[in-house]
Amino acid sequence: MGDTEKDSGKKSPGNKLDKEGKEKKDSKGSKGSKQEKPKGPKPLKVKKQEHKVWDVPSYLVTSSPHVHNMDSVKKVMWTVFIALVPATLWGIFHFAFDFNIEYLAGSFQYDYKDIDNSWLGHLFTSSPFLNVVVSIIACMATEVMVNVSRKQKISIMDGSAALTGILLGMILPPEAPLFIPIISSIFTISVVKHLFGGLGGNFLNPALAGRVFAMVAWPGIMYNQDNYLISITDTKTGATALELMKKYIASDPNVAGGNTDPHAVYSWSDQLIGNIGGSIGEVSGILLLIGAIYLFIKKYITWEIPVIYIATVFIFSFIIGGKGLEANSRTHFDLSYALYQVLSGGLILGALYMATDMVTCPLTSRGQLIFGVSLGLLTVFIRVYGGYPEGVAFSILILNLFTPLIDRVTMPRIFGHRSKKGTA
Amino acid sequence: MSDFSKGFIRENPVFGLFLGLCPALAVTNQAINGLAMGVATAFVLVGSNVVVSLLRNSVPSKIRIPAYIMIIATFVTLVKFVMKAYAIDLYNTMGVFISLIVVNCIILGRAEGFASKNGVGKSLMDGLGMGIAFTVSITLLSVIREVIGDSKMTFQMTLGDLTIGKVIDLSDFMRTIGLVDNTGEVANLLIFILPAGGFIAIGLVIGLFNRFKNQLPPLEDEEEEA
Repeated sequence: MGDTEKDSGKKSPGNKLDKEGKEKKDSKGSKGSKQEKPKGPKPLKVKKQEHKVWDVPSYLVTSSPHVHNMDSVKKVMWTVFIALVPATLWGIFHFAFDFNIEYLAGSFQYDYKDIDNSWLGHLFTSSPFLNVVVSIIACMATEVMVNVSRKQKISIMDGSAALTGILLGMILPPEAPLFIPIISSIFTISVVKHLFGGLGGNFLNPALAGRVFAMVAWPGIMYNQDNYLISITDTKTGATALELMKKYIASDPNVAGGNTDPHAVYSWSDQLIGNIGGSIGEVSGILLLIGAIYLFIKKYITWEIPVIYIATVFIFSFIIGGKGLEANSRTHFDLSYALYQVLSGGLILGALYMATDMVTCPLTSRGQLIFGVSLGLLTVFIRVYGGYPEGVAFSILILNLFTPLIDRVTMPRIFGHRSKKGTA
Repeated sequence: MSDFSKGFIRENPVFGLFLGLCPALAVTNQAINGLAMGVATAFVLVGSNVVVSLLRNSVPSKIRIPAYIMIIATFVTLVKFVMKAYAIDLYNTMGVFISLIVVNCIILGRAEGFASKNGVGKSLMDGLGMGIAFTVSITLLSVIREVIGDSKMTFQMTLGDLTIGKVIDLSDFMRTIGLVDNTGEVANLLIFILPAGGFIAIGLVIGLFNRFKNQLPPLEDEEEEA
């Protein structure tokens, strides 16, 4: 039409937007050209699919028949959640009622503190139970809020937020005030998980990042040596196994009134069953192992990282050894110390459930070997020479940062490519 | 006027251009530290912009960077002596970061990028705008960090013998929302006073700032046409 041609010929002074606007109008065509368009079938309106990280690509590389293995993110997450429930329940009961199971005189005996009012009421208002439940709820609530603000589908039913919640509840101290799980959950879901891409995009293990956030944000509460953890009864001390050991090794045996021998306070059976101090999830070794064996049967975790990690810690603790003849010295090749180190702290929990997190661990077996050995070394060094008694959280986080590098170094050779050394 | 106002949102030195992040992270653990650092940097920025602009035709191009640094260092030494004389507590708190204003990328960036090519009036407005924007930005950051990390806002400094300003205490508010630990003290998120929290805080503020900035209408640039 004549009018549009005149308008496109005029060069308006300056505004690029105006030029683009006019260009847009020209490309769409004026009213006249619209009427000339043939009326064909309407184009199909395909809803733009949002690509989610866990979606399988829609192309198939082989032809049918296919066997569907029924795995999905939802299934994996909720299965791991269920595998963690026994250990969590033990932790809650142990800390709420001072519940212990001991093997005495040939039989298993349990004892617990008598509660005046109903035990259900005591359970549901006890700090360990509230911490776990509140952290699960806070993680899921934060996930909902972030999904809404990112305009995504609400994805709490895939279980990843609940899994982060229960893990976070398991590794926080049982007597922590309620704002600690709440604020740590908000931080870990919104910053560590969603600010870096959502599910599958986290660059650190979210539960551990939440715990370390809590450790740095409230060091007084998380590390109060006197009332760190339970002190419901007078018989069991409140300190964790590793804190006792660190104090014991640093103490001078010649000085009277020395520190308590950790082996006398917590025997190895105590540590395995879980009659010790610690955080809710890390006390019961045997229940965590049972859960992990279930996951291993379903092939959700591989054996390399946990076995290599725990073996490295065992070997190097054995070499470094336990308490020596003087303060801060060591008797090398000490088997009981090595066993103590393996069974205490969050090592079993960290090695089985956190280091094997699929997003933040290396892909190949060689990479997992490097990962496991480095984890073990770093844990032992932090426990022995570092300021903190517990090294698992920091070492897993540091090695998570190294995972992309490990993946790049141990990239498997593409089938058909020759290695540089062997070329003719 | 756009020289003055562009520094606030579109070309905000800390959150937009990511210049001067070193003092923005290091001294912003207390509100007064952020404010004082901003004022000191603004003074140095204005002074160096004006002098560089005055000398822009006399300085040979090959040695312009050392020449600019000398000019900037003169102003920083002025600031340092004044602070040491009249605000010794702030001087001790900020320590080496006052001397580090010399290598603050904002000052050298504006000197190299603007003052060496424009007149004195424009350079003055640019320096004022950037300086005030920097002050406002890092004071905002330090207020956020101190409120979350220490539940107070310290706007108090010792000027000579006087103590001016006040400390706004928010611990009652923190108590009412429940941030109290077992012994009854307010449980501040100490991480935000530490360097780690500085990075977290500045990252979140930059994210919010960018979201706000991207919703602004695009500039109609009249200079590109000519």
